Amino acid sequence: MSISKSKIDQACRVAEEFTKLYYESTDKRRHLISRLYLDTGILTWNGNGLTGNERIQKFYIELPSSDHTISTLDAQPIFDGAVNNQLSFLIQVSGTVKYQDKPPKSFQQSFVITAQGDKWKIVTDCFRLQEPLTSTDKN
Amino acid sequence: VGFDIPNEVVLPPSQQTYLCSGEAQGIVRQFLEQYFLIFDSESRQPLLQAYHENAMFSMTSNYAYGQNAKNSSWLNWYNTDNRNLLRVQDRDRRHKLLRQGQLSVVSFLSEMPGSKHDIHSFTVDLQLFTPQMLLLTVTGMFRELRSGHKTAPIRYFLRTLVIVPAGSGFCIANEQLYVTNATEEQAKNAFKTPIAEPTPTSTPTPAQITSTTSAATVTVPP
Repeated sequence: MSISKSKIDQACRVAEEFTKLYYESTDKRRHLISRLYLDTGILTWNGNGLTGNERIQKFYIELPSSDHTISTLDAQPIFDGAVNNQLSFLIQVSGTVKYQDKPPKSFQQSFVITAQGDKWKIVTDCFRLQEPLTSTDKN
Repeated sequence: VGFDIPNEVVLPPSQQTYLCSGEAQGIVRQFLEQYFLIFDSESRQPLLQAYHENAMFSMTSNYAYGQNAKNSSWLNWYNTDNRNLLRVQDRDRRHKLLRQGQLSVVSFLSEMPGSKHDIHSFTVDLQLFTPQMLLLTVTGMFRELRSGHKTAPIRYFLRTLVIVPAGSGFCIANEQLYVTNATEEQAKNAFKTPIAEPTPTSTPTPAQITSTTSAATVTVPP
């Protein structure tokens, strides 16, 4: 019952297109970012959780402007049993991000995207900057 | 006279843990403790039971910002099997680097250099918790052992896991692993909190979670 090769190819191709669009939107067309998420989409940004594409939109509008550069990309089809046979992909990215004029930092990010009608939508988006934990984190 | 727009760059403070469901806390903690106890042990073979028979696994790696092969520890071992789709364009190679089936996955994990993870350095994001799956993302630091480096390198990892119910417990259906070097600031904080050694009499048990934290506690998040 291994996954078909064409599904793996599709995961790779969609991940390439998706990440291009996602980071362009985050950096240059942020006011449209909510359209990439399901209505019930979830973003965790450095451990801060936001549910719903409207809240995610508001969060992005308030975040300092950004410039992302991608270094690695990987994608897999998600096991059918986990997603009720709804075509979904797991995508993982690493790269650097610059907030306004601050020095660049490494980040890592992972997504679950799913087919909704003829559009790919983000189910979950998990973003982490690569930095030491601060003492306030230890609660 | 200036303008009334702050030009300070303020990012939201980071949180070490996000759990979409408080009920999942016990399951997540037990899973991570058991998984990394075995992963850091002499034999990773018992991890077979932590993976679904059709499990998928792939790995990516590169140097973090400002790092390279000269000023930080080599990542050569990881680069050999690096499924970075930005670099690996060949279709067959993309398929080959996506390991399928628990035997293939655990055989790869067994080849990886020995490790000691600093569980206190972990960040945990549990984004989905449904009767069908848990979606878990973990980052943290580990010391790489017995890999020929003069001093054991401190690496930083990110794992994204799709975990599904299996029998009375859970197993991993999808996994993506990313490995890089810890930054200098991160490495300073690594292994500061002493890690309790496992009691010498206990042999690591399979990471599959036992029935005490079984599907009975699994609920759909609101």
